[in-house]
Amino acid sequence: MVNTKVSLSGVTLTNPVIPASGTFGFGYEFNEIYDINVLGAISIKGTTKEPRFGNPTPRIAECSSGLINSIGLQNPGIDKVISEEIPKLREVYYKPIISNISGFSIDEYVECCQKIDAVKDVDIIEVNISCPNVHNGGMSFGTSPENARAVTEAVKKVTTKPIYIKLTPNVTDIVSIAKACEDGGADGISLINTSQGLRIDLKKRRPIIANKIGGFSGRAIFPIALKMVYQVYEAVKIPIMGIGGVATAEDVIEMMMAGATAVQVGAENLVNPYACRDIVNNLERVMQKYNIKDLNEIIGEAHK
Amino acid sequence: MLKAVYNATTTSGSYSFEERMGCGFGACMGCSCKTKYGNKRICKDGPVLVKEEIIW
Repeated sequence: MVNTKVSLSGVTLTNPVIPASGTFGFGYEFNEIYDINVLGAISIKGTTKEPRFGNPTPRIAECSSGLINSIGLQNPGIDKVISEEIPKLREVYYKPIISNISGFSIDEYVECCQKIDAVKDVDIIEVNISCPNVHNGGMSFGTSPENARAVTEAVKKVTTKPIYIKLTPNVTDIVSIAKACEDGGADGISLINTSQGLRIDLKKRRPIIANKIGGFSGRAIFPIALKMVYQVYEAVKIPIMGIGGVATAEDVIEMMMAGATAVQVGAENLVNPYACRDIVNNLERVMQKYNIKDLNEIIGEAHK
Repeated sequence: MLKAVYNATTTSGSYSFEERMGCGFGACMGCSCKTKYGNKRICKDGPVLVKEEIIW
């Protein structure tokens, strides 16, 4: 027997595999194709104060080993997420729920976090200061240590649940941003959100995505994500959720050796909808192959 | 082309739309469109929309 249990700020996960926000809807959509209770936790669709339609379409463009998206945070708004979406997920799912919150001002982050903090069914709040697909918000909070710290401090003041700040890789120094979040009181760090990319339609001679530039994710960014998790692990004491290009149980183990306590799977859910289930099913076998008895023993092991 | 047919006809009808999709079953919001009956996903709520609900 091997141990796949990990703990994120006191929240126990039966395994470290978490579908990443934005690639898994509100979870119940995937329950139509497999039992989502095999997952360690779910990070549900990013939520804002007001309902949002998001960006014009096309919003998706495929690439070698990845895809570009520019959804623009389409969601029904925080009130409806609390009154309808989370209860709908709870009907079919009993494992931990991570609620992902976005905003266009510190006040919006505060208001949404305060509301979601009061929801019993939510275990962790993931504060997204890294969306590349909206203007005057999202990523602009995650590209300077001062802003990242200001958001963190503001939401910590109004919440009791663990706060994980989700960071963008589109910065020159990820370590200084992560440290600023830790100094601001963050309970953990989620990294990375999407990189940025562009595709051009050769027949139309125009960008495929209506918004032109989008967020680039998928297997292609795995080494970038791994590097950032590795760097941030050396600089902070709080736990890290490693995200970016994870597609196999081997990737999960690699991400944990770099320093992640849990691992999120994003774009791969859009390549293979069974990706998270398959990773969970393969995890114990791969652990045995590499002689790992307890996943907790390998967190950050590559640094020794 | 759909729009041209829409404008050239006076009868009601069904229109089958295409869009670039991420997941294909209603979770990723990649193929959303606005209709007179609210936001819809081409993959899950479509691809066929009735003429009366279409917003170009």
